Amino acid sequence: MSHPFIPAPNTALVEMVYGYEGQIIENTFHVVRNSPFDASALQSLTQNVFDVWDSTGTARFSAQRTADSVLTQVKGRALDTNSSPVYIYTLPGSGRPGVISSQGSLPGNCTFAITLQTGLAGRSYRGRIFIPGLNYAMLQTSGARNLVSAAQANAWIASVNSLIAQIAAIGSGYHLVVTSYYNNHAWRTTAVNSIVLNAAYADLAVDSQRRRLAYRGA
Amino acid sequence: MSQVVPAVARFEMRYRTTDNTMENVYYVRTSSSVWAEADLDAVSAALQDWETSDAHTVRSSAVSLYEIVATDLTSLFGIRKSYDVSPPIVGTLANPLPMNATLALKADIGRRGRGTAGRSFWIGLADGQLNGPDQIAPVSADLILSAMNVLVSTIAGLTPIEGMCIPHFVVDHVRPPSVQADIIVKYVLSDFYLDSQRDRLPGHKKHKRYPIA
Repeated sequence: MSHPFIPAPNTALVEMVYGYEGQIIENTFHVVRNSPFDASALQSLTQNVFDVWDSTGTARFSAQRTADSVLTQVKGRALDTNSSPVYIYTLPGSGRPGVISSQGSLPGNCTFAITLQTGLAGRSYRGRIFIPGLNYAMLQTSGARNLVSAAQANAWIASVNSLIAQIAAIGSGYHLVVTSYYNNHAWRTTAVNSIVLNAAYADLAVDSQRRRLAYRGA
Repeated sequence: MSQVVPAVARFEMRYRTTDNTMENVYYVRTSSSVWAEADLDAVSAALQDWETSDAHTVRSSAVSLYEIVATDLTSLFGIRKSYDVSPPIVGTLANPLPMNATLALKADIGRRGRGTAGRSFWIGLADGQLNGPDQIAPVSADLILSAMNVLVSTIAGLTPIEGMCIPHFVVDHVRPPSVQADIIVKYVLSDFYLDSQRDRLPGHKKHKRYPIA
């Protein structure tokens, strides 16, 4: 559904871009601060926060996905105007694969939904990301293999909550947010941000993203 | 809108896991003008035999066939009959994949036309059938395809059955009151890449969830 550019003041869009078996898949985040993002702020956000979140520490995201999911780029884009700065950080070499063995990697459409909670009710105020790079060992071993283990789900939550904390630690006014462009069957004229308080999961069921399968387009 | 499909009956093969239900739907055309209950019984028995002899060996151990439902589509008041499969026929392959992972099998009807060929999405893939995360191994694909084509020939061998078919419920954006159906020549694969059926995961169905004891 195309729409004209909708400004989101003081907000940056950050896309984590992965390769997975020939397919390109993404997770999208929004970050707000007290002033518009310029190029240097976008560079710092993509390289010093999101890339570091993926690569460093016990809750690093790369430790929670398989080697088949390779982080290749982190893209940052300011959303104040349609000519606001863009910064694309391309990881060196062929990118950063996940730490978990690719042995037993699940098909790309198998994912897990993490909800981003803002403490507000309503569709405009909750977000989701879908985890890339699941492995067979992440599933529960009893019954049908349609559920991930609670330990794995909690590890993802810890990782995303770590990202929330790292963004808040950049400085005053920095927050991971849910950005809403649509309300009551109409596009907004200006996007509305809600601060993400924490990550959570609704259930342990595997979720589905058909377009993450190789050669399945839009 | 209910539609009549001359000479055709629908057979739903219903499978379940511990946390969800799913089905494959097949259509069969008779050379007779009506479906006798005995003919529905015969086709249902053939489907069950096929599951026992051919299909369950290429399904994961997470799924089992528990019921077949036959519906005569030749009139709005045709016979509908359920067949319990007891005990359920359980798949044999270890390390089942999540149920949204599937393989699309194209039903070739030997006729041109966009959207006229049917598809069946295989239920119950296992990790050992894959070649990498997103592709089925050719040998596994051959086994599934072979099983499907055994089904085509088995059903076509029944009397007075013509064979499995694909009804065309929508033609040029219109639902005709009387539906034409073409006989399936064979099942084929377009590629080795997996497909996705979201509704086969627990909690994703729009309709009622089957109560699992």
